[in-house]
Amino acid sequence: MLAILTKEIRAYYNSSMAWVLAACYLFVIGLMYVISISEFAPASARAAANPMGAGEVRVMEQLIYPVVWWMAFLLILMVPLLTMRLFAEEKRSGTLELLFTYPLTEFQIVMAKFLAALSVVVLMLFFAGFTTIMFTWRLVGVEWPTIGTICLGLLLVGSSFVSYGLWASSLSGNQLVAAVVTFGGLFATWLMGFMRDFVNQAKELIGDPSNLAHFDNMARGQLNSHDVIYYVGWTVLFLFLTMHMLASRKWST
Amino acid sequence: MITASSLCKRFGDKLAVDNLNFGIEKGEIVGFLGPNAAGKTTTMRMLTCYFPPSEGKATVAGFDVYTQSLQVRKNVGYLPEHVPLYTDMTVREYLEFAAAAKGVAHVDRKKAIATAIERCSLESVEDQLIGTISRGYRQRVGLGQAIISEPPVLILDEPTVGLDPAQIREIRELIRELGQKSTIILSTHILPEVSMTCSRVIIIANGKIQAQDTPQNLSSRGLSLVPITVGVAGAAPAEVQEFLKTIQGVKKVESEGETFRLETENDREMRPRLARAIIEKGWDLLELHARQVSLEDVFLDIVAQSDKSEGAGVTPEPVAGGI
Repeated sequence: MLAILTKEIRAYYNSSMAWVLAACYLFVIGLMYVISISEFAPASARAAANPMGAGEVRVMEQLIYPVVWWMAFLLILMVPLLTMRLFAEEKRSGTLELLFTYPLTEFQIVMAKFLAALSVVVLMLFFAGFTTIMFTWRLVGVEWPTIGTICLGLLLVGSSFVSYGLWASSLSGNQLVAAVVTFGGLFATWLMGFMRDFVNQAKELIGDPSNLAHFDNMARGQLNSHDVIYYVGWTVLFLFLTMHMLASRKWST
Repeated sequence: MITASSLCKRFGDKLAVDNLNFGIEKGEIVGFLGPNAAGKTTTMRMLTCYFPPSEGKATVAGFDVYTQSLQVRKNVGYLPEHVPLYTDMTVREYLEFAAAAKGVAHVDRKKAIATAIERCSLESVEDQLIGTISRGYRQRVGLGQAIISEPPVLILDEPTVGLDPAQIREIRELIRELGQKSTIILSTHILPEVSMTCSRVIIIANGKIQAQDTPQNLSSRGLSLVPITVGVAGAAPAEVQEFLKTIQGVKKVESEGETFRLETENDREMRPRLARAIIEKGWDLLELHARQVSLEDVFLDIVAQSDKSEGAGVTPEPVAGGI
């Protein structure tokens, strides 16, 4: 399993795709930070001028939250491009056939690829988040417990997206199909949050279906078990489906 | 070392492999010979645990391919047909990956990689990207990953396809060398290959074993129709051809000037009968000989027989359905 993990990470490291994506991601998040500072600065200046209104300055909500929300949202665009090659490329080139004849289980293959892609996502999140948080901390100070729930939330969002992308990549030998299915699925699941009637009905059954709604609570510093369960469940479900997708070659009667 | 009993593989309604039975002893090099789509690759995929058989049982190195798949895969080195490799890795990186993925212990890895590189003569390309090396070298890298964990069984699917004659010779040498340590199954549709490398041939067509024997025995076993060449002068070729067709036992006559190629039921009785008939006609008998039967003739004959019985349509293939 370690062998595949190393190979996949090396493949990311050697490909321009991961670097370009990471650069784009950092740039956009940087821009978002600048924008939220420019909105935050006048508010904080007004508050400073009026000693009675000092309570209005909420750093976490006004400065960190918008950036963090964008960090999660942009993953809907980034993850498909990172996960699309994981199985589709090996299916097309035939290397997957050889891999299946190695003494490895489907579980090991799927987990190795999942962890490799997740590690790239975590690295992107880390660099984007690190600069934002360190800057804010030096400028005005931050609430560390909230930072903790944000980190956990981003990790959970990342892993659920990656596991979905991994599954999409196992569907066909075409990377573009994998990317489109991943993006379409993630975007649609996010949009579902705007279908109020549906959301209200679904909430009673399975909880809020939107994939970023659960992150919202964590981004604001609340940690609820059902939010965690939503992402963990999503991750486990698609890892499981991916394993079965790979095993389906054995099913032809 | 390898056994198959009543091995079947069905894809939907199509029976790709139909009731194969064979046993391969330790140290043998066995050739799977057959036309394309005969079921060679499907059989190999079952033996390498890519997918399980629909029916029947197969064991490799004493382990069952279905219930002990992991142990089987530890004992098998496989080279798939089109040699799929990671083109963005260097040869050395790739072999390192293969060694690790196949569970070669960390301390032994360096030695295993060095041995594979040496045996497959990869020294000159070991630091090049696989995407940039030639077809012949890729084939050797493919063999390198197959032997890296020194498995007792090697399964090679068309190991020489797409190579130039010099490369084919090198790969054959290598396979013979590997055969001293391992049991090898290789598939091919190139006949000289089996006569040169294999100790035994299993001819597969339409998913069934049509024959299995040593290449020598197969060549000498004779055909269902014997090719005989006759040279006749003294009459118009068309006339001679018509006459030859009327002789009892002659199935087919092709004419090429004064030379006629006949296909007859047997050889011993036919030659004197033909000679007598031609002399009695008052024509000149220029030559009369039975052609040397090659492995290729036997193979084509066996495949043709198999196609005939398949295509007869009178008795449709009994497909065990209803499951």
